[in-house]
Amino acid sequence: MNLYFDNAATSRPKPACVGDAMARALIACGNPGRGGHVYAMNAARVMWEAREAAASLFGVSNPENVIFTLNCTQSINMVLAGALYPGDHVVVSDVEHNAVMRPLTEWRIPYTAVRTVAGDTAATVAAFEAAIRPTTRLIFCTHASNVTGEILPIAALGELAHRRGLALAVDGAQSGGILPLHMVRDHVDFLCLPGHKGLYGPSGTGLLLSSQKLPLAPLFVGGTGSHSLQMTQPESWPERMESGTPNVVGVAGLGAALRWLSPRRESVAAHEFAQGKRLWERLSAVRGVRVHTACPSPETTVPLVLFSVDGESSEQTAERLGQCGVAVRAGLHCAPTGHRKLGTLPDGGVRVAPGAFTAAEDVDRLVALVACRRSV
Amino acid sequence: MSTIRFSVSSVSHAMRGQRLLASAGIRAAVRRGEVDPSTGCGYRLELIDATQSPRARRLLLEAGLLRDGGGRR
Repeated sequence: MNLYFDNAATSRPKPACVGDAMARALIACGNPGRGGHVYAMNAARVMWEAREAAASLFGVSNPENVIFTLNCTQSINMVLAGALYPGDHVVVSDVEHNAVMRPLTEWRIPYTAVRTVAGDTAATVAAFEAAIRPTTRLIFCTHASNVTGEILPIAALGELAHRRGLALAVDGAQSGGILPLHMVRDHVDFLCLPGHKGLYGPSGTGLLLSSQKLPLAPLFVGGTGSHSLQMTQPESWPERMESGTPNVVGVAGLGAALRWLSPRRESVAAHEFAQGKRLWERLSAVRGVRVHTACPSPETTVPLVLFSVDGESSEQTAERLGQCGVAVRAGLHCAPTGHRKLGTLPDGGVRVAPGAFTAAEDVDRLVALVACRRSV
Repeated sequence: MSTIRFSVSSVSHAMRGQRLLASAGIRAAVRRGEVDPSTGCGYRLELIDATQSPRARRLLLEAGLLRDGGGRR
């Protein structure tokens, strides 16, 4: 028996079209933008079509404003490294992932972490507004916490940023593909996404979408396949932001995933929320299990559940489940902020997250195994 | 009939331009040749039907994909 509940780390399985597209790209694609032969043109077309699919899903009118990265962390690094000047201040939430907190800390970027109020948009927005200083340039926050599952009011924060002349950058790691987000409607200026979680693309892919409201200096500079005599980076996107040979095979898979997801995003999300709710309700009913997160719902909490089993550390629970063929993630999930807020430090918890292909029976089997304390 | 080619600044511009023209019913192929010093790039959009050149040029200019004066036979 193999049950996979670590979709918050990376989704699996992937739709069949993803592997098919990657296999085709491995044969048919060369290096895009570096030649005029059929293999280079195939690669350029594959990359472009993936940009179009991402632009369409997130409300970006020009696909050139879609950048491919290796992962969401790289996208976040690109924004924090490229959008700020020395002394610029950033307002973040109190549940940010280390992908945001570590660059802020390592690069000594002044920031204020705001205590969000789950389910209370007005209070959360007021808290963000109170933290704005004359030197604030950017609000950077997660759309949904990978530990607490809390959904932040991105549209309201976008409106705040827009009203105050700031830019809004969003970490969409746990929301991309699950929650609706339209960059223009929601006043989002930078959207950072992993390709391999809710978008069902392969690992090694990520996205950075830009409104172009705030200029972004490239983090990686080098060969772009154009303007080779020029010793400075070309100005036009996406080439300006994508130096070096891209992960063409990965992007091929991501493009296929985006085209698979686009017509069924709402039904996939509804399924994930339904299984998340089932998980929460059934785990909450097990004696000796403490559930730390709120019940998943599209208004407040993304479909993940964090729990602990009395008498076991989170790693012990994860190991026990692993020996039964169940994949979960224990510990602090690269986000001590969220655990601090929940009061689950230092042990953290066991995080389970259903995916598009998780069946109700899988949920029930997981709960039965959590409840079973026999040593394996 | 001479061929109309529009020099663009990058392969992405070429892709976007090709899509833009296709949506207007103008077929164009993406080709690569000698680097055009005005764009720093060797990619061009080559019209299948040269008679559509004025309309294609206008569309590409409006989309910011051509510098003014771009386009050559």
